[in-house]
Amino acid sequence: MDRASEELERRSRYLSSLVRRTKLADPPEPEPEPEPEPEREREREVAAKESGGGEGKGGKVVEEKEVKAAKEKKEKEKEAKVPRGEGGNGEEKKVAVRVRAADMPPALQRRAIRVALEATAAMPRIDSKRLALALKKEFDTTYGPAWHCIVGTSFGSYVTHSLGGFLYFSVDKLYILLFRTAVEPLSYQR
Amino acid sequence: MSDEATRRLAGGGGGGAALRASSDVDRKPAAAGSPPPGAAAAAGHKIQLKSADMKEEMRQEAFDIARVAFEKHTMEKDIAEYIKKEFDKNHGPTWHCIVGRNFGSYVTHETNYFVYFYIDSKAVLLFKSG
Repeated sequence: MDRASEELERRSRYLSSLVRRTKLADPPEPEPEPEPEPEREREREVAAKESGGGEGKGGKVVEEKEVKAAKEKKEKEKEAKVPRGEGGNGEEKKVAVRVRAADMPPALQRRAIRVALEATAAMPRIDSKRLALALKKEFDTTYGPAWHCIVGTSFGSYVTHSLGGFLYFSVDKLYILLFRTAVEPLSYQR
Repeated sequence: MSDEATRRLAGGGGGGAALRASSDVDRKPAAAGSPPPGAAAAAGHKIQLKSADMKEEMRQEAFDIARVAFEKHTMEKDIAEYIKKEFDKNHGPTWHCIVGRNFGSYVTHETNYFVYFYIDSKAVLLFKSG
């Protein structure tokens, strides 16, 4: 029972963070202090599975969380029963992909998602660093430097990205942040 | 780590960019709750340096700013925002900051402007690029 209770608690916090993130996403963020070249870059923050924050809320809310958590647990059990060795096509259909935030042409988004799905399908156990490397190399090679990639289940970030060079999406419970920064010539001295 | 000025980012054809692998954090999220508000310990937060390409002075500044950020905020993205903005202000743009318990990354950074450390149980990745 300890293990199940711990699992429920974790899922409850996860759902709570989802709600918080959704709320945070609604209001438009005021533009921070202007960058030297505001037309070219934008600052953007993302958060995946935030921890911390108060969780002591009304009894009804808590009850609702528990129900959802239990439901999600069942869904996970179903998912776990599907054998890993299934064909890529079948596996892709079962994988949940969601674009959380984007400032990127659709073609590039599709490419990022495809690379992520192919890389994860090739890994028996998902390695965040290898996936980040695969995405970064693909984009550095195809669209020019410099791209940066962060992959994980629990992180927050605040970055400045080039115009049209930002994508934040999720594959199941894995969150992927891919963004581009301008590359200055070697002789440039700040 | 020694200074490697030649590894500064290069433009043009896109070749020669200095790459650096960083922060493979596969630790599972801990079950510990957030510390009670207003109960900051006098000793401050424990910091453990993991990887750095940054001068000692700037590194220490990053640690100090991170401590302040953890005191002021609880959400990871707010902590990241605070740290990045402080460095953009103190050392010029453009900095990027990632904070979390579980993430892996691969980034390109300018020479001498990269640090990756733990503060308590969370990892902080701070680097300059662009």
